[in-house]
This record gives sequence, C-alpha cells and structure tokens, in this order.
Amino acid sequence: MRFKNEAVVGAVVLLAVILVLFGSFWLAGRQWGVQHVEIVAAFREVGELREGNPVNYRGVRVGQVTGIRLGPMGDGVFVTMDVNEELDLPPDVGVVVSPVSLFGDWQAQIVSQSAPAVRQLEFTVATVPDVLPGAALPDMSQLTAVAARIADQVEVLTERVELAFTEETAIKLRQAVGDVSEITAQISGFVDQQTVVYDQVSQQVLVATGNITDATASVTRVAQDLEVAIQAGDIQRMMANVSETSENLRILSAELGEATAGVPSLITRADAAMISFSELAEDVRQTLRVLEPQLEEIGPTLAQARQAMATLDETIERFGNDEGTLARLADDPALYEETQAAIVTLRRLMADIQSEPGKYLRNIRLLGR
Amino acid sequence: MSAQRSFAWIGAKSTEGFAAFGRFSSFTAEAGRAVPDLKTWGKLLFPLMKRIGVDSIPIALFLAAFTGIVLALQASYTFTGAIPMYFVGTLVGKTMILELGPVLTGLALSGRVGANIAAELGTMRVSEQIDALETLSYNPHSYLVVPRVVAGLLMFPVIVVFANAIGIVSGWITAINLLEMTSQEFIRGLRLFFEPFDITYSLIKTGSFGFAITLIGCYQGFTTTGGAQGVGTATTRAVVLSSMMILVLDAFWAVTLLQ
Amino acid sequence: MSIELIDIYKSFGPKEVLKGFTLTVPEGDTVSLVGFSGSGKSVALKHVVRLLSPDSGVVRVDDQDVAGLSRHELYELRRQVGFVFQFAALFDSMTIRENLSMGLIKQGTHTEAEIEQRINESLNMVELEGFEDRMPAELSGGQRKRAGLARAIAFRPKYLLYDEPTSGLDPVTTTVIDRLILKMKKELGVTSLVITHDMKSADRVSDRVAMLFEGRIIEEGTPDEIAKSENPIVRGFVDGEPELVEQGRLDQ
Repeated sequence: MRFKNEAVVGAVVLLAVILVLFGSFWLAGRQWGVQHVEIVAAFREVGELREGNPVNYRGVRVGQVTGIRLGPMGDGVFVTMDVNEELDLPPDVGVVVSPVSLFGDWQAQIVSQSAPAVRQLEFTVATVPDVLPGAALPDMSQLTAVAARIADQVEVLTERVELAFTEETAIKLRQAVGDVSEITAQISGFVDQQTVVYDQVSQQVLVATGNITDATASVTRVAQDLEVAIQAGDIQRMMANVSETSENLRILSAELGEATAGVPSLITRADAAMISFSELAEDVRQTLRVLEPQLEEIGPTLAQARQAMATLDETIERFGNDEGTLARLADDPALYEETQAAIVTLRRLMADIQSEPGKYLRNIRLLGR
Repeated sequence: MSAQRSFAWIGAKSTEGFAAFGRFSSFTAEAGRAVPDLKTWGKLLFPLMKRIGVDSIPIALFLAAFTGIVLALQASYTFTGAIPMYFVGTLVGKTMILELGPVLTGLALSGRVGANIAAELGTMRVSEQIDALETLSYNPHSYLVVPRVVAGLLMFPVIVVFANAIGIVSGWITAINLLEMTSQEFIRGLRLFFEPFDITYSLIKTGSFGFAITLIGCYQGFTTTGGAQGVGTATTRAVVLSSMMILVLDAFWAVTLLQ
Repeated sequence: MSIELIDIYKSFGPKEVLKGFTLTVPEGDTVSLVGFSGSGKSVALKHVVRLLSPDSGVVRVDDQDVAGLSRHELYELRRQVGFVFQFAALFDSMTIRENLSMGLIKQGTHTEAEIEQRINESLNMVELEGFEDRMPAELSGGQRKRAGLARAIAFRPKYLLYDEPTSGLDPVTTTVIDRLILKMKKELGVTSLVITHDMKSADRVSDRVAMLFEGRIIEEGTPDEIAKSENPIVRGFVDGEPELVEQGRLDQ
C-alpha cells in the first residue's frame, strides 16, 4: 500500500518536473540538437528589444537574444545573442534591431553593412574585439507622428498665406515648398530604412502613396500658378490649391499612421513619389533664382531685395539643417522675425514690380517657354 | 457611558485579534520546531502527498481546462480585430501561468484540501485522538501538522504545473477550432513575451498557497472545540481564511516579485 | 512512586474549574475520583500527564515535578502512564493492531516480533483476542473501551489513568470493565486513578474514593467511609438526591 503511494507520487512529481523543464525550454523557443554560439553586438540604444526576442538572418530565425547590458562607461549597450553554430556570418556583418509590429515586439537582424537597405544607418564601431557593430531603427510610430505634425504646420502656414498680402504669398510659398522638400528628403530617408524591415504591401499604404502623388500634383499646379498669379493676379485660385495640398498632406500622414500599424513596407513606392515631390521643390526654387539676376539690374531697391533674399535663403537652410523645420518657424520667434523682415523688404520689391510690371514680366514669360 | 462601552468593545476585539494571531504564531512555531523530527513524519509523507496532491489533480485539471477555453474566447472577443490574433496565445499563456493557474487551483484546493484537513484533525481533537497521541509520546505537530504542510508545499506546485499545461493546451485547441487561428500563430503569441521566470514565479506562489492552506487547515483542526458543530465551524473557517490568505499572498508576491 | 496533585488552580477563560485541588494516589492503590458531570474530573486527570498545565500548583508523578520536565523527559514519563480515554480515542483510520503498536513503534526499542507479542498479550488481557485486524468503527462501545485499555497497557505502564471507563455501558459490560481494572492492578501492579460518576463501580474497584465538588476535594476515604459520609453533598451524590446537594451547597 505504502509502496504504491510512493510509486504514484514519484511518477507524478517526475512528470511535473519533466513538464516544467520541457515547457520552459519550448516556450523560450530553444531548439534541441542544435549547437549554439554566442555573438555580441554593440548599440547606441536598443529601443524595446528584450531578452528572448528572435534573431533573424535573411528573414530566417537563427537564434534569440539572451542578454542586454549597458556598456561599462554607460555609453552603449551590449546585446548577447545565441545563434546556430553553422551560421556563416557575412564579411561586413552588422546587427540591426528594429520593431516587428507596433505592439512592442522587436527583433535583431544579422545583416551585411553594405546591403543597400541598411547603408544609410550609422553602425557603432566597437572598440572591443569580437563585438559586432550594431544600429537601431526608430519606431515607426515616431515617424508617423512627425509626418502628422508637418501636415499641421503646412496647414497653419496656408491659412496665414491666405490672409496675407499678395506679394508676400510668393515668398512664403517658396519657403513652404523649400521646407516640404527638406521634410520629403527626411521622410524618404526614414522610408528607405523602414523598407528593410517590412516586406509586405498593404492596400492602405497604396492609397497613401496615391495621395502623396496627388499632393505632389497639387503642389506642381501651385507652382505653375505662381507664375500665372504674378502675371494675372489670380491669387484666390492659387490659395485654394495650396489649401488642398496641405489637406492632402494631412490626410496622407494620418493614413500613413494607420497603414504602418499593419504592414508599412511598400513605402518604396512612396519613395518615388517623394522624389518627384522633391524635384518639384527644386523647380520652384529654380524659377525664383532665375528671377533674381533680373532684379539685380534695377537699382538700389533691388540691392536690398537681394540682401533680403540671402537672409531668407540662410534662414531656409537653417530650417533644413534643424530637425524641426516648419515647427521651428512657428515656435521660434527670432527666426520668425527674421523671416518677416526679409518679407517686408521683398514686399517693397513687389510694389516696385507692380508699378512697373513690364521690366520683370518679360523675363518671366521667357522662363515659361 | 456608551462611548466607554464602545471603547471597551474595540479594546476587547483588538485584544482578541492579537491573542488569535499570537496563538496562530505559536502554533506555527511549534510546528516549525517539529520539522527536524523526520523520523516521525517522514513515513507519513508519501500517503499524504498522494492524498493532498495526486488525488487533487483531476479537479485542478477540470478547472484549468475550462479556464483555458474561456480565456482564449474572451481574448479574441476583446481584441475585436484591432490587435493581431496571435496575442490570444500571449494572453492565454501569461494569464494561465502567472495568475489563473495558481489562484484558481489554490481556491479550489482550499475547499478540497483545507476543509479535509480541518475536518479530519478537528474530529481527532474532539474525540481526544490528539490527546491520545500525546499520551503515546507522539508530538502531534510532528505526526499530524508537519507531514501535511510539507505535502502541501511540495505537491501544490506539482498540481499547478499540470493545471497550467492543460489550461494552455485547452486554450490552444480552442484557438485552432473556434477562432480559426493556426497553431503557428498561437505558439508565436505564446512565446512572444515568455520569460522562464514566469514559471518560477508561478511555482513560488503556488508553494506558498499550499503552505498556507495546509497550515490554516491544521490550525483550525487543532483548535476545534465543541463536538460535531465545532468541527463544522472549524472547517468553514479553514476554507474562508485560506481563500482570503490566497488572495493576500497573491498580491504579496505580485508586489515583491513582479516590480 | 505515587501521583500527587497539590493545590491545583485551573481556569478556562473566566470559568474556574479547579480551585485548590489536592489529591494523592499512593503507590499500588486505586483511587476513584467521583463528582458531578462537568465538575472538572477529566481536567484534573489530564494534569497528571501534562495534557493540561495548571495555572498554579504542583503535579508530581513518579517523584518528578511534571511542570519542569523537558519534552524528552515528559515523553519518558508518558510511557510510564497509560491513559484510557472516555470514548477510547482509538485512531479510526487504523486497525486495532496498528492502534496498539503506535506507542511501541515510537519507543523504538522493540523488534517487530516483540511488538506483535506485546499486542497479543494486551488483547488477551482485555479479552479481545482475534480483533487485531478490525477497524475501531466495527467495534461495540464496550469492545472499544477494552481496546483503549489494551492500547494503554501495551507499554506496561506503572500508572493507569481511566477517564470514565464505564460511562455509557450496560451494567453487565460495566462489571466486565470493573473486573478488568482490578485485574490490571493485580497482574500488572499498577497505581491507578479512575474517574467515574458511578458509585457502584467506584465501590468495586477502589482502595480510596475522593469526591470533587466546585473545584476541590470535599471528602476522601475508603469506599465504606464515603458511603457513610454525613456531608450532604456526598450523601446527595451517592443517593442521587438533588435537594440534598442544593442544601449542602447553601450550607457551604
């Protein structure tokens, strides 16, 4: 009787122990019969990466993250990973950590640093031997938040433009287009990086891309209108177009936000759209630049105008360099004042143009052909 | 006058409370001193491990199986398409291992095991069998309390291991059959945020439940007075107190180990 | 080699049960402690082996102060004292054999054969041969009491304490038990303290009888002396006259 009790209890306990060992091993995603080696990579930061997250190579799971610790000086993070022994690492191997979805699950990817998709990333240079270089991608949600902010700024600007005096419009529009082109460059930079992570195409992103193209078309129309406007004074129509543009941009960024929740990868197509967007901005700039030498011939007022133009360029360049761009214009009063001063000067120039249109319009017409 | 009476009442109640706590503490200390007496309780351990542990497995598995099904269905109902379905696996696994496996099993066994112990020892107390043990030179703490508490401490985690496993498996089967998920999806969610510490946490927690349930059952049994009715009271009290203790311990471990 | 309870006071909460209780059981004698139900007879008996400890007063058994014994010494003493419980207190999850062997196994000084032999002797003595493999629930009240006695004597104790050995038994079975008590004294030479409220039984088994009333001994003597006592409470108890007892209580 007692022997039977012992046997039953023993069997049950043994089964439970096996279940625990097997269960935790299985749930942790380990594999049997595969020898693992440990690799270490250094990162500036690792986002939401946690122990137990998968390690992938060319999209195939080859191991898992086993340890994350701060560097001794606190200036970096060392991530330890167990990977299959038979894995052949590429010659210029690097490790990229990135989000898998918007729900906080991350992964580490073994990549070749020269692969086109990750070329722009800034990999760490490890001072310790046997530590691989690493880089982290920003969270997609941060990117969409930036896009939404930009759209809002464009909208505010458009409203101001609508209220403003006609000559001013031209200048501000140029400014806006310049900013948008900078932002476009930034977004397409992010998009390039993100395309590495996402390999599926969603319908929503396709729609979003379509909208970007629409927006670009609108801006093109606006730019064409710019010339016509100065000629014919048809400012109202132009304003409507600008409003539409900014509205499109806003919708676009909202949709981008939704789209990235699921599968945000085919932003490669958005990329192409962005490039045309950027080219367009360059066109507008070109137009105005051509205008400039003409101004030079027109006496002391124009010298002032040139000066104002230079200030404006400088300002725009500073927008371009600083990350906030349009946000800075709204938030930084000094910058805004500077821009305003430049605009006042230019307004005088425009008054001059209106009083003697013949001098200038000839050239613009030439440009149109 | 009535103010004085209410102060007196509060005073009497607190003294009573402290006295009860003191009695429980000295009972526990007495049991602790009896632990080295392995010669007495060692040979009683296996039958009790069978009775307290192995025989409790069916009820624990029954509970866990249904809990797993409900968890999977409720998770998918809550997610309503906004969250990827593989999170059903995450929710079933995490909830089962961390909370529902240990706590539901604990509550069920506070009825099955706690009441059983209180009734058994309570009957032994009122029929003077515990006194008889003493006259035969047995330390009743070594003979009755220690093997029960040790069996609870050892076997509760074993029971919960099976309960957790069955809960997850039943959730898995539900996910495949009723939620149109694939096994791969479910396993992906299951593994997503899994930490081996989850299992340690689950087992520590359950061990403490086993300890509390058996100790409270023994204490209530030992302090039974007044015949059959006394045994009934002791049994009820054992179930109520150990259920409360399970929830208190549950919160205690969450605060100390999960922060 | 006697049992002495000297000036014992014992309360349970507000209820004082023993108030200056003093009783001596000389070596080799059988003393009956009689008294009304709930007068504290069992409480007094449990003090002998420290199942209860007095609030004040001294318990001496085998010339040792029971209160001052270490746990080990107490267990040594308890092997010298057999305790026969009112309802036998047999372990109901065990057979009679297992019940009887419990104490001997614990002692650890006997071989299995010795234990078996001791069990047989003890059962023979209480005339329960052949009941070894029965469960307590299968026994009648009188058989259970005899089994309880057999368990108490399995140790071969020097002292035997009987808690109401004849309560709830028919007159014939009562006589059988009384004879057993006398037989224990004769064959084992034990010193016994018997608690009872049955005067007939006390008459038959005891060398001396003591009456407990309201926490102390009010009368002590040979069974004959008690039968002839002038104390109204004792008279009332012996003759079963509540009025006499009430009058005695008022006189005190």
